[in-house]
Amino acid sequence: MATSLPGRRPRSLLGLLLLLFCSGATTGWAGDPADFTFRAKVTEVRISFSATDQNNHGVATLQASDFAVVDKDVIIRNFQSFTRSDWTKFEIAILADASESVTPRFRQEMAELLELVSQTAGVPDAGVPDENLSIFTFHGVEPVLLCAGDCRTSHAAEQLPAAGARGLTPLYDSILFAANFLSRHGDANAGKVLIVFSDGSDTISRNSLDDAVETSLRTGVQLYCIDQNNPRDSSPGAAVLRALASATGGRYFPPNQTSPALQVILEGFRASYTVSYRMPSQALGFHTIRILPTHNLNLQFRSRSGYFYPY
Amino acid sequence: MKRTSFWKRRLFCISAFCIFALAFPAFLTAQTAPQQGTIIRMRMTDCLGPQHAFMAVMAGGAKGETAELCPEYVLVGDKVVYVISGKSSEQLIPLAEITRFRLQKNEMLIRIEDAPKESHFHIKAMTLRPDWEHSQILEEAAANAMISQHLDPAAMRSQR
Repeated sequence: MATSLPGRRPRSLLGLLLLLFCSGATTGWAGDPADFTFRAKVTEVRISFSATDQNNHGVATLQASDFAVVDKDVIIRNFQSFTRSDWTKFEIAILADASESVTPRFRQEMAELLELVSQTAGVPDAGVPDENLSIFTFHGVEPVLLCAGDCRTSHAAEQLPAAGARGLTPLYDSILFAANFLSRHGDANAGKVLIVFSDGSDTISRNSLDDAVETSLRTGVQLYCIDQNNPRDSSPGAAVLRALASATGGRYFPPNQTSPALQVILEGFRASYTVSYRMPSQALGFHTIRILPTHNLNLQFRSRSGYFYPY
Repeated sequence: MKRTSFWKRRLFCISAFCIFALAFPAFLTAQTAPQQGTIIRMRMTDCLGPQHAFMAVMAGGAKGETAELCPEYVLVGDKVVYVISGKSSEQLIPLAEITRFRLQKNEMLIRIEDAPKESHFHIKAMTLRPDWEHSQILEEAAANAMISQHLDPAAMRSQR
């Protein structure tokens, strides 16, 4: 979500000027210029989302009349702007679970990871230059950054854990770490993608699932979760991975369906749009967002699950 | 005297029958006549049980035991505002500007484009539109007051 000043509202502008005057006067008296606090009402919400049809293919010809936004229960059909998001750059990080919980599938996980890394090099117009791919692994108490940005040229395979999976599972802490890394690293206008190879279990994190989601939302990072559970078993971890992907506008890939992951991710970004609208209510807290079709119920929309107000 | 009374009673019966005969189709038409409105709110909420949903809501309990969430919509008609609920999580209504519907047996029937038949929705609440608009104004005022209350002390502190 992005915010902007309501330049067309004289009353708000007047209030802002008054506040600035008061703040200036007060700090002038106190003699401490570092005490400024600027406050302004924000009224615009900007959301990026992707659209797919019933065959899971990106929809490239979406119109503003094809969807409505549900913001904290209120349905919005009149938008201030609607454009195609021209994502030309991506900042990708891969987070690989190397903890004890994935031991049975660890070798397969590493093989899938390497395949994904090789795909980023082979996809024409992928928008993933050599310096925009980072890899983390996690086991024990904290994540380890294997390579920052230069993973293809630095031969990531040689740095992947060879000894096998071991230790506890700090999944949520690692997501926070990687999301914060992505938000600071690279171009601010790049699409931030975090691909998580995990079974969804967490055994030692100081942060919770909600913290992981909140940080991903605040940093604008989309999570794409590749399930490392045994396909024959039903695991509660799968629900965690689904929740992470769904809340951040990413996607969940079931076990053994990794191969088209990168194509799907990039296709989703190519068929993505940005819509902005006036905030329907200034209710404090988290505003949940859903994007739903106005005519064709076969259309599926993916976006972040909401935004915080005040931001 | 007795004969007059007999005729009076008979006349009353005939008039009552005529009124009923004339009013019944009008009542039926009101129940089934197509209407249109606009969906202005939507949220996911606990599903109602399959039977007697309206009565369950009126009785203030008996929510569905399953954890499934169903869509709930506020549909603003010409004179009445309806709160309706789908019977499953998949029962979504396209959020077009205009939704056409009709009422039948405590349910709202909505025809969705390309669907072979109408979708049935529980009616959870009905309010006359002026009453609903009045309550919305009050709710909005209360929300604004709460926001001001929340923000003002911070602004005051920052100014100090």
